[in-house]
Amino acid sequence: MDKAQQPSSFQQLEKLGEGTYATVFKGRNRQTGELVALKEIHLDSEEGTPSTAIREISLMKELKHESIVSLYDVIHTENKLMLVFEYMDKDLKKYMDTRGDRGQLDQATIKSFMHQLMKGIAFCHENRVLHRDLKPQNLLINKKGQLKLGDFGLARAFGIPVNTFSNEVVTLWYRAPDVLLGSRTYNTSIDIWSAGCIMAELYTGRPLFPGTTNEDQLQKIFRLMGTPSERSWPGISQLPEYKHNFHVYATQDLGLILPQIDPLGLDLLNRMLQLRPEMRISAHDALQHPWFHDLPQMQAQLQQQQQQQQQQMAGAYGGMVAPQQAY
Amino acid sequence: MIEDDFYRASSQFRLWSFTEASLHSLRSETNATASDRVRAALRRAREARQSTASSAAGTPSAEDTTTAGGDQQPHNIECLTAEEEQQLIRYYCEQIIELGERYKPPLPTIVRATAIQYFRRFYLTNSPMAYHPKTIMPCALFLATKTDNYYLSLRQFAETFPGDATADDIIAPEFLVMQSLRFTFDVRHPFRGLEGGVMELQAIAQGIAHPAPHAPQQTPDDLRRDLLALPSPPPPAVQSSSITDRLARAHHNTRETLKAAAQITDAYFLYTPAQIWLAAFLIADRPMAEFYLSSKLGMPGQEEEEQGGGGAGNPLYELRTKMFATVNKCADLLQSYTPLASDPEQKKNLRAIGKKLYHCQNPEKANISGQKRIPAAAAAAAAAVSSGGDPGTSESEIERLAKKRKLEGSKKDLFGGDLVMQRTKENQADEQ
Repeated sequence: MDKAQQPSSFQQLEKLGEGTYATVFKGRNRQTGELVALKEIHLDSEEGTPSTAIREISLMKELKHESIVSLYDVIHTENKLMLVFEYMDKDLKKYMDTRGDRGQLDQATIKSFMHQLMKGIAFCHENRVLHRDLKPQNLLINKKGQLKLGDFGLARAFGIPVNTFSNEVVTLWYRAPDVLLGSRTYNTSIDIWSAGCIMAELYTGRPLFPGTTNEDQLQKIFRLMGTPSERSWPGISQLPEYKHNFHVYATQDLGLILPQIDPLGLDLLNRMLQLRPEMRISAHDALQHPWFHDLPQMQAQLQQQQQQQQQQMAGAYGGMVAPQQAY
Repeated sequence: MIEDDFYRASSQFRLWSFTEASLHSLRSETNATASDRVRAALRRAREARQSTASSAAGTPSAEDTTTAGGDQQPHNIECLTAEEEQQLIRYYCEQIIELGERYKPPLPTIVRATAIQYFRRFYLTNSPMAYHPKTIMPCALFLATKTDNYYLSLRQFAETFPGDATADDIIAPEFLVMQSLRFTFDVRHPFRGLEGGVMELQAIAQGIAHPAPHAPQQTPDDLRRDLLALPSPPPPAVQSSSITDRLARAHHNTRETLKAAAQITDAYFLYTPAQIWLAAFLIADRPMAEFYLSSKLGMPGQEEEEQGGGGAGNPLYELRTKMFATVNKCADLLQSYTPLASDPEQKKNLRAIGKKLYHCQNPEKANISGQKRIPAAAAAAAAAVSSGGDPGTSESEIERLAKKRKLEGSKKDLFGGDLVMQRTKENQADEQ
């Protein structure tokens, strides 16, 4: 899909948001009518094309997968670079705000989203790419109920940044304890921790560990998962941010704060939210977890629900609803 | 999916892997197209000069003699051959390696290797006659610092870069390069595979290796004994005292081959990263490389003993035969490389090519600093063409742009149109 090449081939519609280093607009291909997301990157006259943009393009050209948002094209104009992405209706955070019951989603949707999330993560990891910034705002949802990983602006860069280029603080809520403790040898398991936090949030509608500072983030994690020690996590005392006077909390039962979760789901979640990185389940193994076994039946059920919802929406909006884009 | 499937999904395999024949024909085609354009451009330049001469008809006789004497007929212009282009490109690849040393600290091997591959990929579809390598090389190197996460500001980069290229000159062709790379910046190098192989051999040497799936009965001690019993590599290789030394030496020599020969030959276009490092390893220490391959694919003759039958028809045997043939061919290619510094004949040749290029450089593309403006102009022109629905507007738009270009670059800045063509060509290729 490289037919549309010039900026004027796209009608620029409303602004969708600010990415880590760019502004994203909704756009429409003038020839096909297809909706797209236009990510506008301002060129730095000092450095040429920003390296974050180059890295994102580079990754997106390699990572072609149904659970990863597609990069269709790259367009260059006088002073900006425009990345043309597949259009997704909203991010998971907005989706939860609008669709869920106080942010909580139903079982079938949660399972379907988690399966797609783990498929996308597994594909990244198989390609030796860490996403490093998984959070509901970076997971995109479309009307077909598909979830895809987006915004690879931070993927694979140096270290873990504290600030984005717009000086917006990167959220700590989904950050793995080993990273918070200052480990520099983190690996694919950091994305699994984030996925675990997201899974819990799908059930409750609220972030699992909404920390405000590095220490507060660790404390919120320990309060629930228990304070790790050299015995439960050999080597932990060598990590730069480790404190010998961490308040010692006992491990809580996650099931208590997630009353809606079934035993299998709880088992998977516990395997994802292991404090010690080596103990965390891999994306590949998570996909084999028995919790996903009944996904096909649940998806059939989900489809029915969606049809009903669409009918309701059509009723509510009368004839105003535009035909759904096929992409 | 197995590892091989991942490689097949990579842009390096999809877009940048060739057979010898397809690589050769792509280069010939690029060379032929560029030669035609050079001749056409020189003809246009001559016609322009003639029309200026005839319009300034005051002293026709004097003008005529100088023009006729200094003018070369376009069909007499000797363009570079594809082989000459290759020699020139090889020279600039060596320059990239050397340049990397000038930086403090030196640019990482991987940055230099990526830059060389960008540079070589660029010249698959562009000719040095259109874009002089000396303008593309710094840009490819700076781009590689960005894609390989080696942060260096453009100012820092430009300060150390030799010659009088300014920061602006260095990034001027950036979009042109990015576009020629078809926005694929991920280069799969053989270095990581080598590190993995060396780690496996170290584990075997320490007697802590895992047996291969085809030989579950093998113990770590068996493997270790076999490794220690290997014949020494033939001279001139240094006869190592211990297996650790021998492995370290093979590791070092393999890396050296990967840093230079693997970069400057066509190895990346013709072979996979695994084949390349195994080939370089074979050159460094043949008995050890063969042992390593056998530890993965079975010893030669092993299944004859075990199955009482000939090797042919056994899938592992066939795989090994094919693998050895490919890796040996790749090793031949790597060994065919001789550095320019050690070859006075090549050096002399290169000077002649440089002189020749001076005369057949496409004058319409010479102003590389003007490149920065092209994408916008080209995009606008193409947009005008592609909007199609309103032919009146598009035509007037093209005309307006043509006038603007004339004003901007007087006689040099005329290359907007070509990029549009290139771009359209690329789209067609993408759609296939």
